[in-house]
Amino acid sequence: MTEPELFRVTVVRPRRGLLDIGLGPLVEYRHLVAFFAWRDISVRYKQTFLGVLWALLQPVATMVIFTIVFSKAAKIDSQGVPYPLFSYAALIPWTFFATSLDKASNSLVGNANLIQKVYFPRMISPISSVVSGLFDFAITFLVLVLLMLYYGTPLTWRIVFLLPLTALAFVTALAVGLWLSALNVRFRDVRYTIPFLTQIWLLATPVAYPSTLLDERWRVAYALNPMVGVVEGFRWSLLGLEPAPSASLAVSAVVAVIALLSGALFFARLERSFADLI
Amino acid sequence: MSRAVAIEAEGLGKRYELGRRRGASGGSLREALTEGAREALRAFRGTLSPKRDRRGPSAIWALKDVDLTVQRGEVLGIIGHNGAGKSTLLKILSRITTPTAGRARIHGRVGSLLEVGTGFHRELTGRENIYLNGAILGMTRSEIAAKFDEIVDFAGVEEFVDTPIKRYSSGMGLRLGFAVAAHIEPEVLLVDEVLAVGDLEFQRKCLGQMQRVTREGGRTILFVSHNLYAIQSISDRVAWFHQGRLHRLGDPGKVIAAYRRAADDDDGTHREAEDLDSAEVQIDSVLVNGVATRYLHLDHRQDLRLELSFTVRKSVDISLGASLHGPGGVYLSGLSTMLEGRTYQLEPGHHRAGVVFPGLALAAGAFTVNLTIMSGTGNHFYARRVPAITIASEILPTFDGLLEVQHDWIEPRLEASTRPPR
Repeated sequence: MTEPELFRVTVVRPRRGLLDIGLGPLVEYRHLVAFFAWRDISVRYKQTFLGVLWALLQPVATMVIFTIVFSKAAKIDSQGVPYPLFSYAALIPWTFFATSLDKASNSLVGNANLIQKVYFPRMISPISSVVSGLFDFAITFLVLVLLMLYYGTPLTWRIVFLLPLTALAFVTALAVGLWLSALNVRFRDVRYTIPFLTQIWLLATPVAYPSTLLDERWRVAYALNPMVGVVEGFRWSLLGLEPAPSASLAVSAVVAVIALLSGALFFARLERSFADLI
Repeated sequence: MSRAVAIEAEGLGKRYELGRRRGASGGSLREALTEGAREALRAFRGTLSPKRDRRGPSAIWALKDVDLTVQRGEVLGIIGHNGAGKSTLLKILSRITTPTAGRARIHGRVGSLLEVGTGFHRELTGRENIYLNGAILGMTRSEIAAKFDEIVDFAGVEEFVDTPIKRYSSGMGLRLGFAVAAHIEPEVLLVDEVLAVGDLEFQRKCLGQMQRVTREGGRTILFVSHNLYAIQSISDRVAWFHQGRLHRLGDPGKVIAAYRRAADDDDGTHREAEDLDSAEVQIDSVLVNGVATRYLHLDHRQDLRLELSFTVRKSVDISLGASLHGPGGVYLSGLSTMLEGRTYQLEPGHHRAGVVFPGLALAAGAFTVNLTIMSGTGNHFYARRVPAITIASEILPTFDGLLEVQHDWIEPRLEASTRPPR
């Protein structure tokens, strides 16, 4: 007769299932996400002089430069919306995406000491990087509110769509972060490719320009970049720009979910060797 | 009902690839690409023999074929040289790294302490670091909150709890790390060489805390240390790892004694073999305070009566010897009847002889006593037990050092007053 198990049993073995992304441990250790995110934020604000202002500086400065280059010099059409507002509404999700992607990709290497000394599901590390990005993301809305008051843009019920749109940006950043952070453990070259990657990605996303510049035929292919759906969605829900980007959002969501699942599987495959390689 | 099992490991092994893809900087993409290209080229040329093991000598087994069962509530000490596989075992059991072969089942929540203060951040305050470190070690926010005061008190950092730890002295930082670690309460705790740092007083405090936790909570501890004294004081069993394999497992006194001898042999210094009997004299048993055992838990100032029960096969002239060794094998005292001018003529038959240490007061730790039956001239051994007995001694607060020398104080008394008259 066997005794009933009093405790949970952990089995340690060489391999696990090909499709096992370790969701169980992830749920069990979920409290660590908040701790890591809190650590990142609080350390940054203790170390920096400008603190919160840094979160605003990047998107605001970019908005100013874009306004000068694209609106004043290149005379890009901003679909009847004041260009600063037009670009800033897109820079909010974009900045969140780009900084989270960068932090997530370097998160494992940054936590190298922890990874060699303590067990926790390694996915916690990139996840909490993206979560901590939400803090700066929330702060960037302050400037948007000021801009909207200045230009007298009314808020509408569409603002509720910011939530699923943010989730889409979150999933996209995490998906790419999972791929790159795992690769970064094995190949430190990855960290040098990230600035380059985000630069190209910015050009491939309608942040500085409207997607109407593109020929209709290319729209679907364009939406394979999930940030296209996110950025257009932000403009639609905040500034009332028509039409609603339903088609691109549908494509973007599917792509983002596929990227997340494949990223999680890839990460899980490599995860078990991190402590030996890092 | 038999005791429940905490850890069962079968054929556990870990192989590390040497050279490429390892080391602090990780690999580079270029190396992987060139390596891949080179192999493709080789395959194309057909020079790659089909069954050649490309791992070859560039891989080592840090751990191999380890079978180990640990009972719940047991403290297992783990000893061995550097690179013997001790830390690798703990890393596998704590899921930091995965085994290459075999499997292990661990019953209950696992906590590992491979380093003191893992995840501490210099910019954060003591309070913040307690929460962060606690969470990293597997405690929930409410568990940490419940133990917060105890942790601060244990570390003795009350006044600095809201100071960033970059302003702490290194000792304070270590104490804080220990304090958090000493308060995690998983069912299975894996501890690596963390007591190597910190002052002696604090080490004792941590050992005490660990013992308390296992005794009261029925928790299981696997404890790696080079400090044999610490291992012997708290372990129920000791596992000796050598070159990745579990070399010996069993009674702490015996395994540690064997390990010491091996270590001494490696040093090239000659040490006596463990036990010895001869054609003339055969030791049948060791009696400690009248009981046949080779292990004793010694309380404060207890009389220690050690006797050998032995058989003499032909008449011999003998002397008796006893030596006392402290933690780490420190030689404390050697006594012999020959030095004191007494030898004994023994006829064939069963005999008893021994030594009594009245009111023996030892410091906390593991002590051993060796007993020998020598020739009357002292230059030949007939029989010996090395060690005859291993003594685990409790902490005594009334003296410093390893043992209390018999003494009487001369109380102060007035010889002549120099106080000026009023």
